[in-house]
Amino acid sequence: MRFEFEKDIRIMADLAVHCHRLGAKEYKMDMSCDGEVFTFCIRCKIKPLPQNDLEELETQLNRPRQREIEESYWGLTGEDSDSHLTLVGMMLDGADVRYSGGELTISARREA
Amino acid sequence: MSEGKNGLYQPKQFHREYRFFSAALAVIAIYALCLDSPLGIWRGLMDIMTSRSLLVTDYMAVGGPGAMLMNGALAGLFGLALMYLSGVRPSGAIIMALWMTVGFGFFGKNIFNMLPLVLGVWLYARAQKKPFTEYSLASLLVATLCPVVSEVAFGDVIINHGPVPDIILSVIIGVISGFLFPIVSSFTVRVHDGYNLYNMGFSGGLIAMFLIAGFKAGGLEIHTAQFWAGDMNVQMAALLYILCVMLIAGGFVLGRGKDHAAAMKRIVRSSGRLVSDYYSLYGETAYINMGLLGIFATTVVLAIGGDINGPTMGGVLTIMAFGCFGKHLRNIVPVMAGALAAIFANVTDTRAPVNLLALLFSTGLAPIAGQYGIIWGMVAGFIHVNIVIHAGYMTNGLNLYNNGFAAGFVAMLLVPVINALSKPRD
Repeated sequence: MRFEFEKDIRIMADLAVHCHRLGAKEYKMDMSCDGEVFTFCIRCKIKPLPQNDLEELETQLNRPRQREIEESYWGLTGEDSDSHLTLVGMMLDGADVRYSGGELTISARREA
Repeated sequence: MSEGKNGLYQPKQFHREYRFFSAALAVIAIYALCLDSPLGIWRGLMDIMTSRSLLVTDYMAVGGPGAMLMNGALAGLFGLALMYLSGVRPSGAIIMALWMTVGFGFFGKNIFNMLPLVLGVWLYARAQKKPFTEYSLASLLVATLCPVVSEVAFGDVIINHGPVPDIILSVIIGVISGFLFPIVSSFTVRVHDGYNLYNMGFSGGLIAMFLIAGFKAGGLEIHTAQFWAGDMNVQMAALLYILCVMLIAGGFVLGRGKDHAAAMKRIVRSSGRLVSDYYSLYGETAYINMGLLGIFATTVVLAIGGDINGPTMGGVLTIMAFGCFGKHLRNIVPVMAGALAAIFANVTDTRAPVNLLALLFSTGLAPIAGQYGIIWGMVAGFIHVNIVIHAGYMTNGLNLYNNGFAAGFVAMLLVPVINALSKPRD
């Protein structure tokens, strides 16, 4: 489908910039795409990460998928802002956010 | 019923949000019947549906107040039916688009001129092999180009062809415009980076601009027209206040148990930049925000002695609509203050139609105030008023969301300048 890979990359870029804003260092990113499902994982070291920021991230990334908003506004993704985190959440089908030992791990999946 | 995260739309479900919106439509329809007889409303509706509907066509002047309100209710009902039959789950964006549909149903949008555009969006969805639901938002907001259909069908652009060929041609051009709309709007959002809430107006303006160029190349001219009614401030303001109270009450009743004060604080602290879906984030508190915005906007128009008619009611309803998708008092007041300063400074009458509409619709730039503060918000509003007339020249009234078109240029110019000169609030 058109632009799906571009959307996937923009989502990753958005989250990477968001992690940078949280003070992240040493990023590792993995992604895989089989044409229908895109999965990725971002790991970064952030010390310290306030509980509020962690909960906010988890809440925003687990918003219900809203494809009508995605089709109209996906072009905004790719650079971070608070409103983009909501949009990213609306473009994902599931996200798992963990913080342990100073390392933040964001795993997410998205169906085309 | 659990809706899950995967975005698969549920079978047709008349969600609670749609029931609430239906109640608002019923209030408008009943109010219409209080102002005119059913026969009078029917005749007025026929006049409305066969009007050119260019910007600015106040349907109160064309068909009378009862028909104008009923047309708005019918336009809203059409949009609601489209969302329900498509199985779309309500979100802040959908609620916003439904309320906007009602507002613009008072000046420019009707069932006849909406249909070809929606068909065009549907055809685009088919061409992309995607469900129509994914373009549901575009299908509601494509109505910015409604005047294109009406002008070709009933205007003097295409002459001496007769009503039937003109209507057929208007449907064809409407379908093509609707087909292009989702493509253009998904890209124009990058141009202003989410600082113009009326992105659809910006994309509609670009399409209209190219249509005008095409008409002119073929030797066809569109003669702009303005229909503007007045003298019904008491009745129309009363209706707006009723709708606002209904929204505020609805917010408290439907959202009982929620900490609305805390949620409102979070709404007001946000910039409002796209995508700020207050309904998805904060639930029924968004209704309260919508009602407060409507009370404020209606009072401002009355305070400066403006007419409360189709276009200004559309402007107020648009501000209310975006109460669940980006606007709040902190980010609209500076922009409106700047717009008001420009209106007092310019040579036209403060209460001239172009000024009233620019004042209300300048709030499309609310995210600039929300992100960068009061001064830049005022600058945005000031520039917007001076740009909007020129934007209108490029589209000759074919783009209903003309202020959105102008706001796109303002945001495109101003935001990079602001970023170069200052730091964002957050």
